[in-house]
Amino acid sequence: MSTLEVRGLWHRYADADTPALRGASVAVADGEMVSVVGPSGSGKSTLLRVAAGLLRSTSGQVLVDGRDVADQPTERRDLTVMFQHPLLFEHLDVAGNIAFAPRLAGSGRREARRCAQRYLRLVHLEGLDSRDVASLSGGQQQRVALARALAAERGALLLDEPFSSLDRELRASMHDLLAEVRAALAPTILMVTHDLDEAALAESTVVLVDGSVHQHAPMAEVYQRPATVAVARLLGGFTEVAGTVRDGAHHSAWGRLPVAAEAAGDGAAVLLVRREALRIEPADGGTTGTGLEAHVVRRRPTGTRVVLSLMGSDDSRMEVELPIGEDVGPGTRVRVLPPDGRSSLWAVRGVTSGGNAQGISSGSHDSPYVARTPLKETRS
Amino acid sequence: MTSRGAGGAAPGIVAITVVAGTGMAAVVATSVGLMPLYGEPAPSLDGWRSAAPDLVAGIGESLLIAVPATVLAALVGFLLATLMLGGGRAAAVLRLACLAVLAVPHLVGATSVSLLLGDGGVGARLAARAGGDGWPALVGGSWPVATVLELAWKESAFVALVVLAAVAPGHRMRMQVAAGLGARPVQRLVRVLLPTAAPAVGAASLVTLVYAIGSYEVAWLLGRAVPEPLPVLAFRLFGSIELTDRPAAAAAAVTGSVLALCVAVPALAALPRLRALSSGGAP
Repeated sequence: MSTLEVRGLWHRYADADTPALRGASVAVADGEMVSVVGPSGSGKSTLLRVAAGLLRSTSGQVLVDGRDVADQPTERRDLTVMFQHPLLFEHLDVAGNIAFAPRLAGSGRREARRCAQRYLRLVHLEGLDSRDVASLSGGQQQRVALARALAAERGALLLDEPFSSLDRELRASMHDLLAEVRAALAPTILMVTHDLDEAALAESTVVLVDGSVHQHAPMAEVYQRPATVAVARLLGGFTEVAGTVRDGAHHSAWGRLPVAAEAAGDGAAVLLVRREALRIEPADGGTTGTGLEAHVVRRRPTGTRVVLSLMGSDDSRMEVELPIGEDVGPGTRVRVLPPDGRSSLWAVRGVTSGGNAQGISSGSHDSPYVARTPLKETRS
Repeated sequence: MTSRGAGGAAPGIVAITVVAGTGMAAVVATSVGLMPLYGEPAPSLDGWRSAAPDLVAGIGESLLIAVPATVLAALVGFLLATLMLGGGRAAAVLRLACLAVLAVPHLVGATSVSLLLGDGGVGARLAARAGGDGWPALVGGSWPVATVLELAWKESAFVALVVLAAVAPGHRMRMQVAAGLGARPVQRLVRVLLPTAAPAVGAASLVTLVYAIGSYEVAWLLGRAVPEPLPVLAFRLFGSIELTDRPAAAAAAVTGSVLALCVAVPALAALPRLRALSSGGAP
């Protein structure tokens, strides 16, 4: 397998006012898997298509094993692509589809079909080699598509929302299969997905917003320390508290809350707190100093827990996920408390008002991912 | 077919049976003397006997026109479809051109070809002006060149649009997948586009072939006098002042129909297998 890197990719569609990609850079090490997530229209599929050579970038490099292939057609890039839909060749049977690339590479018919058998075993579809692809289920078709892509034995595998057309159960089985394939072949994979759980299968995740890379880090770190408010909003479940960082602490209507040393430096900053880390107590609970008085606007049951939407006394909005078994009705006045002081909180540069981060500059995080030990729990 | 499906198809089946079945029965009856223009019906093979030499030559002439015209139409049609699949402005112009060609009646097309390729036509005049020695007998000559070209010209537009309609959905993605698997443009054409388009090309070619076997006006305008293809023979005999020629005309019509059936039935049986035949199940 190979390394894959895209550097400073810019792309603008002919009929668009703004670029779909703004200098996006992503590096995937040999045998590593990197996922790309982002809101709809963030440019994640464009990034993959430019990397694959299916779109031409305005500028930037696509490096496979350090060789710039940006001017090469797709077939000469040593990359293969797997799309959301299997797109199997209907004029070929199952083995014929998988043997397609080996045949192109010059293998004889018998040898190519033997090769297909190997990959069929890998995706647990032994015995289906002569089946008409139209007779397969959606999950089986996607397995064949994966086997076909692997059989091409190209330097890197680009996956464009490969399992999003499958139902939850099938998707889970495909995730297991992907893990098996990675253990067996260690392919270099760049995967675009809108499913954050699926993205977490990768060693690291790139968060793309408006064509810019906002963060590239392991998913756990992205959740614990989102680089920008836009990243936090993509993940969901964060309460944003506008304020100022000064002397290692965030100052706001919530009071003075210590932030991690790696968080935003002195200046305007948004405190990002997970909704499950917030606590509530009755408005006359007696706690003073930190926290904010608020009233419950809405309650939303989510399985075993209840998520409250609250309006603070400073008109800010926040969400709190209650512990199992607890519930509070709309209209109740409560005091929302930040996480206890066992660990530092996380803040990012910028300003926000009423849960609206329009004023926050995007793309401020431009450092490429450097492998590091994921942080231990930073939420309280 | 389900009973509901059969019920839904009933009006079509009835219409086909009444129109085609009754027509064929009448023609067969006429050819064997059971529907004379005058006199009492009397079973007889006189019509067949009198037309036999012309029928044999007519079969040859019909195939000499229909087969090359179909092959040419299939090749050109597939090429046009491939160009149109590329998209862009050129593809839009081509598509409009194909639609325009389809809208032109064969009779008008044949007249145009005659004016273009005939002895005194544009081609001959330009050749003479350029100092050419002689213009070949493309119209009415020993080889039905003009007839074949006219049929191929018009039917290639038909083949192109049928193939385009069949292949266009998903075409770009199929090509992208193939490119991602390492297929160069020629390999994508041969290993993906061609087998994907084969059933549509086959079906459209079959329609073209059967049409060309039964086509009358183009061969009548552009073909040689002798031998006549079956439809021209049938038409001429049918309009003959010799009323006894009517059974011979019917015999020519029956022969043409049987010839078309002999081509169509095996081809229809083979069509569902075209995909597999085009690749053998493996690339």
